[in-house]
Amino acid sequence: MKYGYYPGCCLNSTCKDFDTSIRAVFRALDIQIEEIKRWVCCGSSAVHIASRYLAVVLPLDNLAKAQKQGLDEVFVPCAMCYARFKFALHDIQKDRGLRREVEEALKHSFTEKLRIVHPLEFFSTDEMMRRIAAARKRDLSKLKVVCYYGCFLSRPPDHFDDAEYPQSMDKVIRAAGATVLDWGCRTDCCGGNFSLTRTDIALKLTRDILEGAKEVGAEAIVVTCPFCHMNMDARQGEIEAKYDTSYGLPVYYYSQIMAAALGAPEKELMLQLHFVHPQRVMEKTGSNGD
Amino acid sequence: MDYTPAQILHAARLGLKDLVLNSATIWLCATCETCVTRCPQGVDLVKAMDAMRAMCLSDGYKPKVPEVASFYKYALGNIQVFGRLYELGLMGRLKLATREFRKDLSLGLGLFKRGKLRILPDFGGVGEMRRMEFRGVRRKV
Repeated sequence: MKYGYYPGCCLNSTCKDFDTSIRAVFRALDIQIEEIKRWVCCGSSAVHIASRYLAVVLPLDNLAKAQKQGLDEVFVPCAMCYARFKFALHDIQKDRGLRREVEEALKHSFTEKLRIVHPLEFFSTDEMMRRIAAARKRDLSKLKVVCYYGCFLSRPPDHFDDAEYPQSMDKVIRAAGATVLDWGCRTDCCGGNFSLTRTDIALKLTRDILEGAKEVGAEAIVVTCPFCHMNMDARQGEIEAKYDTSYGLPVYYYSQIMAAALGAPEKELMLQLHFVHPQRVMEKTGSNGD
Repeated sequence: MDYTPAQILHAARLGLKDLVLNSATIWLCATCETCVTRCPQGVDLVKAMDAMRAMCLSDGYKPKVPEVASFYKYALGNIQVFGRLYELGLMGRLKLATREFRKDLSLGLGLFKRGKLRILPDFGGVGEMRRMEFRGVRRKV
């Protein structure tokens, strides 16, 4: 069966590494995906404040396109987009008037088969984890990581994972062979929305998370959200300077860790896009890559 | 924050519209959903905050934390024009609005050097936004 794939704006620009590595993971596990044609922004981070209607229409427009392409199950790898899609589906399921209005505007009636799937939800089933473990090509056991879920992957509470103590990413990264440590900051907020405007808030919140990772002895942080990645990786130097400390913690998307474990060529990990010790994951495998 | 989220909600219930819409709190809520997850009464505070922010802008109030409000405003405008977020355009527009031209300069350069920033927008979504506009979707609130 073929799955739909919605990259979203970040994976299309600032986070090319997220996009190429998750495609590499799907390829390595022999999962067929097809990108939604002519997709538009899901409106995450801004639109829900200006227009509740548009916040529902934008994700659903993409889903209507997916269904017209014959794709009923759609992968949304970005945690922020994933949340927007979930909210939109939730809203039209609850509100029949809204549903009618949206379906009329989009000239499409959604069928019951439609499902939004986060890759971590998909990969954390027992069967998929067995497949991942069996397909491992590089040994990451020397790499100690913590998994950071952020706000949007596990909240609000009706998502696939526990809202307060999510485990799906820990399980998947463990199946990929890395050493996953327990810690207390997995669902703390990094202040992503304020990164460009009230940077002081974002720096403080992100520092607390980096501090938490350092405390348990992590050598890298694994994330699901482009905003979190930007705050933790690109702004890490700024945080170190402001708080007169040092972390030196590389931050990877879960797909990069998985792709590394599954033997993807290094150019598909696109580690050169990172600011902090990008090569650590490859160094820990003890190989020089491909 | 000048009021706690609980105070804001209480003020909203008492109909203290000016107090609520002139507060910094509604702009300093990071929409992290922690409160929604934990509220024993099942209050969706984030949706309430969204509504209050929208009302602040539509009813002509002056946002107490203007830089945050302009981020939302320009990000929305950016998406409406391009259909897919054009980061460099958004950053430039924010700079013009806040007049803090030196802020995040080295970050921007770092992003640029690594090839993380698109110089030109991706026009793949422009036609789609036009199409939606013709159907009257865009203007609706």
